[in-house]
Amino acid sequence: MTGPMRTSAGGAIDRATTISFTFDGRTYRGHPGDTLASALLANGVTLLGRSFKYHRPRGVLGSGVEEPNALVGVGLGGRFEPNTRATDIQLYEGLTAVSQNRWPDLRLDLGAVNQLIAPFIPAGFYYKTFFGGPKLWAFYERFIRAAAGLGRPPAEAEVDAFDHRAAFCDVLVVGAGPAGLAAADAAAAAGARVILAEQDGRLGGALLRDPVQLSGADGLAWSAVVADRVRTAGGRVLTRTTASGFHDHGLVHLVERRVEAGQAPAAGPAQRIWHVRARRVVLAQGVIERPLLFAGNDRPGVMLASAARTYAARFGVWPGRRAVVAGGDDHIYLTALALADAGVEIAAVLDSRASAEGPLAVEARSRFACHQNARVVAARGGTRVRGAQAVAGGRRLDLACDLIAVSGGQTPVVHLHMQAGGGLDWDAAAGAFVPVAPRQNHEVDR
Amino acid sequence: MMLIACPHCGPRAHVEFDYGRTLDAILPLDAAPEQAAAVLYARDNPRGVSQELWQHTHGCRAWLVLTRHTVSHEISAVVPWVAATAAPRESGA
Ligand SMILES: [Zn+2]
Repeated sequence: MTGPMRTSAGGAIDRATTISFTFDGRTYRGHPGDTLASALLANGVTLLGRSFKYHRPRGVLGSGVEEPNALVGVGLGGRFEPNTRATDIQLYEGLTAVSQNRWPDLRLDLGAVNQLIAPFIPAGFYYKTFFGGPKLWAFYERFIRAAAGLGRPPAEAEVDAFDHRAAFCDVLVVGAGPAGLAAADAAAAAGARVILAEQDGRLGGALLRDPVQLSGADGLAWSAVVADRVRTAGGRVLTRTTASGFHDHGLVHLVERRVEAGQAPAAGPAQRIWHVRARRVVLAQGVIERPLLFAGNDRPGVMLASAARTYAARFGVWPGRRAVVAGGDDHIYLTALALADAGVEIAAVLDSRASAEGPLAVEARSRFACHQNARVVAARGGTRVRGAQAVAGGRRLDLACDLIAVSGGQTPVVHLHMQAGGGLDWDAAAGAFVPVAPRQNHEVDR
Repeated sequence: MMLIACPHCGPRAHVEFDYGRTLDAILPLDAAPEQAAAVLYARDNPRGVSQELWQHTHGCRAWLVLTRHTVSHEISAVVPWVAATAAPRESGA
């Protein structure tokens, strides 16, 4: 067992193999298949950093590239990389990570006094906003420079090589969730030259956290079969590869990470940029969940509902032992049921809607305390959540919990679509701006 | 980065090409200074379809006439300069 928050079975991790890594000088253990964030959470480490200005405690909000809080420095010497998302680093033997923006250390952080004087610092105030002439500035500067910025730049020159490669294809598919896999499969079957790019180390997208049956098989098994079919047909499947730009006339830039941050490549470059000229581009990048607004919503223990499900299902990690799940659509019931099945106690489900009659809501109501017209007002606690203050139908609730899983709706990932000149339209049913009117030779999954 | 379909070399990335000027900015050799100033400095900058001279510098080195939309960058025609100017030359002869 690698840590007190690791479940006894399940997840896409290799439990037979143990990896050791360090965070702020302490040694922990995880498994192949873990991210740095999942391995730290498994070990009960929830405080991963401090915020930029007020040094507020920060933990893990997400489970992938959407992570805004859990930024750490990774690697040593010429391979040190600051501001790396702990949720987007695959664990490897000997990984060395350090927290950022704290002095003298993460738990006892003197910069945190800024929180006490916060009412006197106007919004938008920046460290550069110190007045009083050159002499005073010369005095301030030492302290301001020390306080400014997140992380530290590497002290030594980069030791690894980086290269680039040009490629051409008939169909480029961005995102290997069920939609992207199906698109790549269909294109390859029609004889098209296909490139499938997935930024995660594993294929499957949402199938990794929400198990479903596809074509009569387990979703992940289906993913593997489809990816093999694409490869056999001559297609190229790139993992750890992020599409970073969609330029004129079907040119898409991909960044392929051949090793993780701080890791030495066995041979060849650490990263590779692909310049892909594609006849058609399919954007199947999925959605990113929105957080909710309440006091203390950045406190460690407040997590996106999709991330909480990911830690439980994919990594075999309890994101907390007693959860409040809050939001405004049926994802909260899906989350409560999934967390409960993984062994997390559900303190309450808070639905901001007046009623919910879907099958998930009905099942959840039979198992947990579910409230309508309910929302979180504040997260209680210090360096981690100890409870949630909520209102339900005008009544105040004080709920003890160590996890607040939130779902503020799903926002489609539209960056590449927009960069290619596509439009957006408000979809009231989806509660989000959705991509419409692609302008280049690309299509978006809706 | 645009893709320009050179009639001689096929579709190539636009870094292989050098931009010349728009067709309406071509100056007669005997132009008066006022005419030269008007053509070079006071010409239209259309938001829409533009006819431009490009040279395939790192390819066949031919001068090409592109019909390009300045907003969408859609290139609707690429014709060698020689072919584009053939008809007027013949009629002038
Ligand atoms: Zn050419």
